Amino acid sequence: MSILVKDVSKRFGEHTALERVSLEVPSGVLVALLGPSGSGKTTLLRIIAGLEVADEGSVFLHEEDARQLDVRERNIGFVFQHYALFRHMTVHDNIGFALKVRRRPKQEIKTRVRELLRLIQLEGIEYRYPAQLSGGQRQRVALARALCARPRVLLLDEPFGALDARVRKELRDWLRRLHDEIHVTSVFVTHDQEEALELADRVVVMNHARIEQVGTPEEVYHHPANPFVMRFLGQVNLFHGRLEEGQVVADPAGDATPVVGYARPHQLEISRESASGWPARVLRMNAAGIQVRVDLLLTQENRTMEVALSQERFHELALRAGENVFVKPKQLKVFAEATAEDYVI
Amino acid sequence: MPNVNRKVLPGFSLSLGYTVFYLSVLVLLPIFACFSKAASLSFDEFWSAVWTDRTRAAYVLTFGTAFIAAIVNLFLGLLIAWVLVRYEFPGKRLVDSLIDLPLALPTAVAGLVYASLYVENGWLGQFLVPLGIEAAYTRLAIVLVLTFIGLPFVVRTVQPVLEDLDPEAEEAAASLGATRWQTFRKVILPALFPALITGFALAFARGLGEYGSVVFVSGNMPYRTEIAPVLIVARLEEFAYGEATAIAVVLLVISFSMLVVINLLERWSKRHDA
Repeated sequence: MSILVKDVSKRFGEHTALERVSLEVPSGVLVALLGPSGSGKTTLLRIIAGLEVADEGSVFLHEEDARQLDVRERNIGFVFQHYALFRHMTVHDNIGFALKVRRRPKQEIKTRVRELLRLIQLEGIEYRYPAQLSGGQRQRVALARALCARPRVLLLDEPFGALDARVRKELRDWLRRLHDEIHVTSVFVTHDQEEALELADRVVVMNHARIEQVGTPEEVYHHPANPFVMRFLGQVNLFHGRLEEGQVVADPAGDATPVVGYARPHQLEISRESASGWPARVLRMNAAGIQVRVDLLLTQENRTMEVALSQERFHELALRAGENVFVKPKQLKVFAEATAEDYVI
Repeated sequence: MPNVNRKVLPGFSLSLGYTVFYLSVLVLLPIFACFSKAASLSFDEFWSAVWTDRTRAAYVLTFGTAFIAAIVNLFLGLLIAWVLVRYEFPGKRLVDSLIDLPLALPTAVAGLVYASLYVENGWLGQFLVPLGIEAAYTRLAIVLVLTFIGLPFVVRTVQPVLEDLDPEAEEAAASLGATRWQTFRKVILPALFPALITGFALAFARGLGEYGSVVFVSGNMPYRTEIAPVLIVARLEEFAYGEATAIAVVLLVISFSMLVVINLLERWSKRHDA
């Protein structure tokens, strides 16, 4: 076990950032801490790093109690959201900083820096200053700097948050390949579910100072533990219905147990027959993409709903805006009404 | 045809015109007058006015004391700015406003107060003089009073830069294994360097031109505690205007070239800003 977090709590004045959080990170795994802002994910990362001290609970790094260890003794690599490069130092001096403060010989530093520059594919920029680099280059230099002293764990705080979409995608793929190459236990914080699902081996979904679910990207996406996880991991549609003989039906007046069903846009089917579907009106359609996005208005509840159809099905149906149709979930995830709050994301 | 080169903020030529005009009237014209007055002397007269044992002693004293005071202010100012930015303590705002006092106080008052403090029966002098530290009417007195006069400059130039420092850079240094001292020396200090040089230059320049306070604390003994501005006044009192301006020209030229060097140093220290 590379990182073990046990019952960690942290409060900032009245605000509770973490409430008895426990987490295990096995060696060599890439973990995403995913959650909305204010969910405590960055605080958890900073406590693992030693940049923040937990009020209660303990942190172990490679079976060693880290509470006695200051951030500079933990031998972690930390990558900051805004890179935090040393502006007055060249790329070479930035990357070699960790070895320099350990008073290693110049030649060793030089060799290691060259090795890292090859790793981040930025050879030949040793003597530039951070101000002369692009955002993506800076982030890679920051990563190389964090890796220089061969840290036991690598921690990244919103590593792609300050980059534009295209660079972010590139760097994400690159980081995945890099991790497969060097296998250092890594934890990164993100509020972007797509990034977490695509990049991580494990996803830790956090909300309101607690961990909601831990699992592989498939597990958290296909088997969310609760409505919050379901809603946070992608576009989702709500159906208010009643549970009748193991079936959710659109029957607002019935006396069976009321439930809320959740379905992703691609799990919905549009038809013109009324058979146990929810009546809806087509608002608008957008066929530019792999799938066709159709926005519907549920006529009974006056709520909008997003449906994703395949291009073939869309042409087959030949929908028109304003048309009245029925929508029916092919699959529906039901959580008991008591836990199904309306989460604000 | 419309002017395609116009900027969002208009008035470039107007503001530049005013700048040049003010600089000419307020700075260049008096300097030119000073030079032309000095030029009324022949070269031999000029040389014998500016290059005697007494004037040389005065130059060394003027630049030496201003330099030492600016160095003291460099460290003292950094320390004060650090305390004011990094720590919270009762009376912080009062301390903060006290920093500017030397700018507002008539310097003659500062000189009188310092002189009375350090004389043999003054508040501080009664303890220092028996220890052999004579701070009144000595070179030490000049350094002390110039340090007082120059105090605000380093504090006020370093303070905003220190406030704007990225706390993440310090956390990054710590996470990379740097000790507090290494973080200060390798991360914080280089970031403050341009501001420190600016503050030093301002304090130094202020010290070079100071007259009002020094005249009260130094005793103005030729060869020992007589600074160049005092010498100029002495020449003026003898109605030797040409000689007085000649010394002034020398002061001006040395000061200007030193400030140019300091400016170059500052620019060099900012070389990493693209």
